[in-house]
Parts: sequence; C-alpha cells; structure tokens
Amino acid sequence: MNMNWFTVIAQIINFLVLVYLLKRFLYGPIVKAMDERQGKIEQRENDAQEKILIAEGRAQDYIEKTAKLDQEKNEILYHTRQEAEAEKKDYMEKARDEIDAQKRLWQDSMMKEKVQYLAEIQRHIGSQSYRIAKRVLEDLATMKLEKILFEVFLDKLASLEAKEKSLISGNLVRPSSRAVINSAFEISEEDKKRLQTVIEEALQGVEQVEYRVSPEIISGVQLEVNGYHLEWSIGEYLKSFEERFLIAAESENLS
Amino acid sequence: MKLSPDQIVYFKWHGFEILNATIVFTWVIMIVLVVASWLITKKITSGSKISRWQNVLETTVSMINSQIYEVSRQEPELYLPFIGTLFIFIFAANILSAIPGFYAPTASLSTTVALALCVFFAVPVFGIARRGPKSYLKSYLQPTVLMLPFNIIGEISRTLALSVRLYGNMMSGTVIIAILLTLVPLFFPVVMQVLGLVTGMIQAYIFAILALVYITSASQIHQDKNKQEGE
Repeated sequence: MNMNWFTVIAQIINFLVLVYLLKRFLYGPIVKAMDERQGKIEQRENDAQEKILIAEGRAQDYIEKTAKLDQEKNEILYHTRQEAEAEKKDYMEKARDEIDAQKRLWQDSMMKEKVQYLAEIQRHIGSQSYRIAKRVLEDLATMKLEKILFEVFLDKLASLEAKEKSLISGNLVRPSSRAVINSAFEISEEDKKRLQTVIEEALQGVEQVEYRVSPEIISGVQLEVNGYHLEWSIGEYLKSFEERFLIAAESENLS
Repeated sequence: MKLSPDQIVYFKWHGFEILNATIVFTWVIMIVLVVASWLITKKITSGSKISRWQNVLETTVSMINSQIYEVSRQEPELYLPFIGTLFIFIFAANILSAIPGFYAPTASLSTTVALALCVFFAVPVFGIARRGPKSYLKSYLQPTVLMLPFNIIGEISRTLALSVRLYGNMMSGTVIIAILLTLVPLFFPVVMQVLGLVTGMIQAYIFAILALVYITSASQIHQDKNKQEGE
C-alpha cells in the first residue's frame, strides 16, 4: 500500500480540471437544454391553460348569449302570439259584427219582403173579398134594398146627436152652403123632398142640396158638406172592413 | 506483481517519477469524457426531438440530480458538477478497466486519496459557501465545545475511510484477478471481471453518495438551525 504524494497532488489537479471541463462541456449545456425544454413545456402549458380559459370564457359567453337569444325569442313569440290573438279576436268581433249586421239587414229585408208580401196578399185578399162582396151586393141591390138603405140613411141623419150636428154646422164656411148627396141609385122626387126636410132640420145653414149618382158607392147614400162626410152604404162597411182586416193582418205579421 | 498503477512509470526527471500510469490513464479518461461530452453537447437542442446520446446524457444528469435531491433535500445545481464528476470519473475508470491493458486510476491509493482529499476540502468549502464561515465553524462546537476534537477526528477519519474503501475495492479486484489467473487460467477470471464491473459501478455510486452526504450534512445543520430560528 504505497502512495505517491506527487501523484496525489497531480490527481487532485486533474480532478479539479475535470470538474471544470465537465461543467463547461457537459452539465452546463445539458442543464441549460433541460431547463429550456422545461421552460418551453411550461410555456406551452401556460398557453394551453390560457387558451382553455379563453375558450371557457367564450363558451360561457355563447351559452349566455344563446340563453339571452332564447329568452328574446320566447318574448317575441309571446308578444307576437298575443298580438295575433288580439288581432284574431278583433277580426272575429268585426266579422261577427259584420255578419250580425248582414244578418240584421237580411232579416230586415226578409221581414220587409214578408210584410210586403203578406200585405200584398192581404190587400189582394181584402180587395178580392171586397170585390166579391161588392159584386154580390151590386147584384143584390134592387129597388127594395135601395129604399131600405135610403130609410136607414134618413134615420141616421135624423138621429144625429147635437154634438155632431154642431160640428157639421161649425164646419160650414158660409151660412148658405151646399150639400152634396151621392147615391148609388137615383133618388125619387118624393124621397128627395123628405131628405131636404131632414137636412134642413138637422143641419141649419144648408140651403141647396145637389144629387149625384156615383156607382162606386155600393148600395148606399153619402152626404158631403164642406168636407164632412156622412155616409151609410155597404161600400163604406166593406171599406172599413178592409181597413180593419189589413190592420189586423199587419199587426199579426209584425208580432 | 504491480498492485498499483503508480508503480508503472513512463517518465522520470532527475530520479523523480513524473509520469506514471495513474496520471496517464486519468488523462485518457478525462480526454474521453470531455471529447464525448463536447461532441454530444455540440448538437444539443432544447426541442422535443433529441439525439440518442443527448438522451443518455440527459438521463444521467437528471438521475444524478434526483439522487442529490433525495439525499440532501436541496436544489442540486450547486452540487451537481462536483458530485457528478466524482461519480462519472470513478464509473468511467472502473468500466474502462475491463479493457485489457487499461489500468484503472482508481486502483491507485494516490487517486483515491486525492479524491478523498477533494471531498475533505469540499465539505468546508460548500459549507462555508452556503452558510458563511462563522456559522460553519460553529458546527464543530456542536453539541458542546468538548466535542470539537471528536468532530475534527471524525472529519479526518471519514475522509481516510472514504479513500481506503475505494482503493481497497478497486485494488482487490485487480489483485483477485491476478491471483485467479495464476490458479485458474481460463474462464473463471472472466466471471470475476464481470463481478469487478458491478463492484466498480457500486463503488462509484457509494463514493459519490457518501461525498454528497458529508457535504450536504454540513448544510443540513444550517437548515435545521434556520428552521429552529424560524419556530
């Protein structure tokens, strides 16, 4: 076991030189390269992390935006639906009103037509019945009947109430008025005298009496003094019957 | 029989041995290591695609780094050149000894003593570098002043043990092979040679780790103390 101190010192120097050289050529570059790589990896990781954060942020943004859009869409839809509903309601109401109006118009016109038609029918029936009656009465109107009719007229005139008498007299424009007697038949002279007496008695102020024969007065006599009519004839009855018939028919139709 | 490469002398000057096999083969190792490092690190890259050799070096360096960190629990940058070189030099010397005609410098007591002396001086150097002279010197008075001589003896003795351990192992390998060659000339020495490679690797590892423990223990106290102060 021998040891050479010179060699020991030389080896110490050799070792220290080797330490330096290896540090210079081995550890330095290697550690540097490793550190750089580490740095790069960290950089990449940081970049990736940043990108992930950005991406997450964007994703969050998109989610929020989508939610907002959805909400807006729903709101718009809701409003539009409501508007559409309101408009529909409006239109429906308008349409209903129009239909109602049309219906009313139609009903009115229908009613009018109906009434007119009914009136026409009734008028027709009335006038037909009147005509039939007139015809029958005309056929029946003999001298005997005429005589009876004249007597009835005289009675009626004689039995005029004071009120009616004064009403007729009051209507006289002039004291000396002319009375017209229309009759369906020729009145005999004797009857004329009797009538004259009754008129003068009943209606004071009537001086002149004119006699006219008018066939449209069916079997009857009519007195006309200054627009006042006193009539007793079958024609008058028929007319008043016709009038009443029409009124009754119309009121029935309207109800 | 020459037990130490120190005894093979190539050059003498005024009866003074200047160039012996230890120094020459140390230079050979140095040249091989430096040239290989230079060649590999010349084309070094920090990219993700690296050459096979760069990978080998990076693996070695990071392995040494992790060993340093595991033992010292400190950042390995400061210790890497010294401890790494110790390991790589001893490793290379022991591996290259498999080549016929190559004398491992580590089989010379001069080399192992030189390495142990380097560790011996590295302990206070690193200790002072990390903690300052006052704090470092104080550690010799721990736990009491009475312990000062024992601390100093311990410091010296472990250096001695370190150098003798490496020398003994390396020299014994060579000696055993020499003896066996005379007894069983064929095959058996090959097995011993392989065993020698394994012991060489283990010795390189042990030497480096022990050196690391000695050096970092000087700084460890400092850290503990700092912790106590902190508490």
